[in-house]
Amino acid sequence: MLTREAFAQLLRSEELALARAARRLCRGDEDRAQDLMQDALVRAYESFLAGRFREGLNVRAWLLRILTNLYINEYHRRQKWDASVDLETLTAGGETGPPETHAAASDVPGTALLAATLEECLETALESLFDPLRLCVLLVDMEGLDYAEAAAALQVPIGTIRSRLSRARLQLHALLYEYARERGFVK
Amino acid sequence: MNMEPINPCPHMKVWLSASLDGALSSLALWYTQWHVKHCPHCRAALAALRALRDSLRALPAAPDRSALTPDRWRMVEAAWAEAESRAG
Repeated sequence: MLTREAFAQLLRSEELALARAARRLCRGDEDRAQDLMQDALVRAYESFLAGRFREGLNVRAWLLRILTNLYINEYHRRQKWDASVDLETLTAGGETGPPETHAAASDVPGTALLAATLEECLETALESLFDPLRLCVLLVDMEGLDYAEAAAALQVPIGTIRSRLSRARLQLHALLYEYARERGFVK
Repeated sequence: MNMEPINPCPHMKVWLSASLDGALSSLALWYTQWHVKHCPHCRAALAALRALRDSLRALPAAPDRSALTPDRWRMVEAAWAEAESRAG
């Protein structure tokens, strides 16, 4: 059985991973990311004290689940999370998607279109994704969760993770193509 | 990364993506592999999606800086202590 001290140490050891995910979730808004990290660490410890952490669990996945839930709840509070949005209609156009599914490259705040690196384009494209799609990419592609862990974190079926990831990746590719075309890398 | 537009067959979009993550049943995987072998559009799409996924994985973490500020850590530790006293 983990002692409280050992568990607190475990949480501290995941601090950087938690910070990376929080900053990406909050699109670089440092204050908001700090709030989210703080809340997640407190919530995680409370859950541990309540006996809801089983030894042997993937601590990082568990923490990311808490972090993501807090983020989504905050989103609900801000009334931006519309659970009734039909992703099918949002991405009916397939890999390119209808215009409202993502911001035009030129509309993305802070887009430095003159910056020519793939990383920057990718970060920009990622930030412009519709949040439910972006969260899947963040959890699976960037944080390395498997589909079941991501499904638990987002409280959706595994099939939803599978289809959202597919849409997200196709949209990201389409956005990158758009950026490359704007910069004259492709015709 | 290949920056040409990709145009996979509509029925293959989800499976192509899931195949990158090893998240297909054996039958779906077999069909995906068979289809990709015979369909140049899906072959190109799979290669592009794989490159995209690899690029996402390779994105650097946020700038190297401490995660929580010392003030925030003090608040976290105070909240932990409070939770402990509530838990007894």
